[in-house]
Amino acid sequence: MTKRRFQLPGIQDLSKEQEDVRALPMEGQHLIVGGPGTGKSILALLRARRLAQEGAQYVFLVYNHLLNESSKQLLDEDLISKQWQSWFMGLYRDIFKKSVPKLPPTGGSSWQDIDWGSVLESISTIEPELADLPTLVIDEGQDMPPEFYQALVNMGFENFFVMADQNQQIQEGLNSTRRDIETALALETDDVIELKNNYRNKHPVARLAREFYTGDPASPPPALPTATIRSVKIPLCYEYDIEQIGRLMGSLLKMADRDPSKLIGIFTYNNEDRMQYYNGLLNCNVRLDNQKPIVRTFSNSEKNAISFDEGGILVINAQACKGLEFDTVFIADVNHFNCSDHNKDNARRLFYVMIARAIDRVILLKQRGMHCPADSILPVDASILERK
Amino acid sequence: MSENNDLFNKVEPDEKFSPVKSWQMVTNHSNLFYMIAAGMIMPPEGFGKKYYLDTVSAFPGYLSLFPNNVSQAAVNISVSEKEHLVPCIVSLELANLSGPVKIITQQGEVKDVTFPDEVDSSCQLMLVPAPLPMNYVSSINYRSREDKLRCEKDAADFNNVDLSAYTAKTTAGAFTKLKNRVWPPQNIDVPPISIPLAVPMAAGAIMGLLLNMNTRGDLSIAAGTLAFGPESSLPELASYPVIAAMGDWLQKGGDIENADVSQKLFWGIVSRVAASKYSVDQSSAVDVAIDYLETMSSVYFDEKTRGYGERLAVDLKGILGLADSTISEIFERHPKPVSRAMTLFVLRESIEDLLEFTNPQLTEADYILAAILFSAREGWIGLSKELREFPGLNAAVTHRMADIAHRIAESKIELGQPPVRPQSLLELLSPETSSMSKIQKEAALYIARELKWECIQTRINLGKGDYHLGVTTAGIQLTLDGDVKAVITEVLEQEFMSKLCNTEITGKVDRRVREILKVAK
Repeated sequence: MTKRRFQLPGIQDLSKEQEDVRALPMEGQHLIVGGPGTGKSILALLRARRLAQEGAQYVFLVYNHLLNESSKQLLDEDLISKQWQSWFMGLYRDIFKKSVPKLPPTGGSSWQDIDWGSVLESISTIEPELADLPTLVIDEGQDMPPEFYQALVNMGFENFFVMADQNQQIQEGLNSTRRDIETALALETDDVIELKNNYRNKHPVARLAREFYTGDPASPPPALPTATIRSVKIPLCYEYDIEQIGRLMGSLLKMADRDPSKLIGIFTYNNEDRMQYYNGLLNCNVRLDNQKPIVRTFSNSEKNAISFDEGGILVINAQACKGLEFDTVFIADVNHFNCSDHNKDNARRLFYVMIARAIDRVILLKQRGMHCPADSILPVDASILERK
Repeated sequence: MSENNDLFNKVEPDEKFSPVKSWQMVTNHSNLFYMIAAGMIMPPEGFGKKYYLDTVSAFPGYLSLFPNNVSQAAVNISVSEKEHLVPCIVSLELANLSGPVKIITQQGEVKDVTFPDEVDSSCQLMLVPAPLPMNYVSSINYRSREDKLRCEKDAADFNNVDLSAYTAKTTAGAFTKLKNRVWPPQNIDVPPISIPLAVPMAAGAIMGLLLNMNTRGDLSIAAGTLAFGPESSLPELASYPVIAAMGDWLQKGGDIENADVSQKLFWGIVSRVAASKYSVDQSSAVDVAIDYLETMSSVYFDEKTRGYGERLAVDLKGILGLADSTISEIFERHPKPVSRAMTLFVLRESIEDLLEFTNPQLTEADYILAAILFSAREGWIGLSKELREFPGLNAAVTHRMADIAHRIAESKIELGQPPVRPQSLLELLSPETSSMSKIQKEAALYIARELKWECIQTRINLGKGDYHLGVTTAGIQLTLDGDVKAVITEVLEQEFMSKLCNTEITGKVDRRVREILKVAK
């Protein structure tokens, strides 16, 4: 399979606003806010790389296991990258010689959130450590709760490089607002750098993503690139007959085969859809130019290893796509996404996140003849979303 | 901007006029990095949206060069836009430059003169029509060791900024020499000139990419030769009119005369894609190219050709989506080189992707046309450090890019003899007659030994006589009378050339071979 690697940017690839971020001092507290595609992750990786080259201690903290894997694999050099909760629990154990306190499970799930109240209480009993603490480079910093930042500051961490986008929250209420992070890091609003332009998504992708922007003024949507020629890559809502799903799978495999270095993401609403697409692709055999593309899936419960340093197709649930980057994104099947009246804003936010994962192309797959609640939030303008 | 506006009317007390030892340009490190990556010292238009105010914007289209010492105000302006900018003074060696320039005299007058003969000690500032090639840079001067280190660390964040090719100096005093000179000079009226950059930038990438491809075969070598010397007449290209039209395109700066339909079509796409890099419209290169196919002018194309363009556009759009075709199936439907090159152009984004692409149906000509399209999209600035490492490439390309720009602009600026066209080892080791020369044989043997290729033979020339073959416990022994001098170890040329065609040789081995062959490293 063709390798995908993080490539250093050319001088022409970073904008002036991104250069402002790159030039920030290696020490101190820095918060950078920007929407999807504004280059937050690449700037965070460049910062981690520079810290490593200078022999400074640092940890690159990310939201979830998938992001951790993708960051590690895309950067050629060794990246000291951790999933933020695992890292924090290890740190707590090292200091207090016991496990981090947790809240009881809720809602029938076995998952236990960290009991931040108890954590902060424990930290208040110790003297802050002022030496040998690493610089924390945090990507998707809006996904960590405010107490996380408070705890780190109380422990004596001084050097932060936090990248955040408030509009990429998927689990409302569990995350930090821009103000929360500013307060924890004792930053004035003027100290925060805002990245305003979208560099990742091609214009048609960015244009579609904008349709789902929920309008939080704290983190405005990235400005659209200007383009006057109608793009050949207008996002597509493709209707297929369920009886012809085998043909659809063949077309997906051929698309992956036409450029084996490209990573195609298929985002599904639930595990049932995820496994249907995953198995469908595994079992589909069509004539291809290259070896059959690698088809992978991932679920939080299985935590199977995922490779991001090669092309292919990754089938994941929509909730797991945060912070990842794909060349082409399929949203399948849009019929199944919950877009009831009381959930419309959440649905919009989720579509915003999913679409903004795509660099190049977005295709929505829709079963023909099936009810599709998402129609109520999909744009009707064919110059934004074509229908076939 | 300084408010003092009379300083060009008198000689400043801190200035001593002496013959010009070197010409200096003031900028900041970010602009300098951009110019290194772009291969040209150029005006703000060449920087896209990433130009930071410095001295090159003072007189649009001209580069402002100081004789010997620079004004401190120019230094201050060049780092005024952002705190993180580092000032740099670029020393230029202009021994090969000649042609019409403007000078601003100590009396504050603008004079049209010819460089170098008419530039005398009255010159306080020389305005040279942009661009100049980066191989004119003799050194980069930093204010302090800290600034130099900071720039070196910064450059390492980019894949196309190689500071190691330039002599670095730390000369704090150079930044504060002319303390009382204002910048920009006031009450000076110089009409702006327009500088074409799209074609030179695409041309640089075409040269670089074709050179990196020239182990693919004779056609690639011929195409590369034409890119470096567009006036050449190469019989190898006689059967490939679209490729051969490159010479005209480079010489005429984007236009080709007396072209047939295929030539017009292909080079029309190349011109538009190259120009799109410098357009405020951010439509993608693929959109620009397909739009051209769909809207081909009836002035230039007949109905049949326009029909072909429209059909190709439809197919290209299809394969960007859920088309039920592999690339091989697409190539089967589209056997023409232009169609195949366009297919690759829409399906692959980076030059590295193109270089890795293989398909048994793809001919060398298809591949060369695709490389030209990719070059137009990326420009020389889009070539990574790895692709620029080819010995002698940087100097040869940057000089030619600037030369093309001046030719198109009709500036009458002469940059001197261009550096010799770099050659691949395949070219350097190809025998001019039926067999390699002695020096080629020596170099070939070195490669074969270093890379442990099984294509070495040892030949012993023997005169007439009786030879005794004996079998001992150690093996077979040939006993010869007298002193045998003619023991020759050499490569089997055919096998060697075949291996050379299929192997990328870089670094130490490449450098050593060029030493043996006595060519540029």
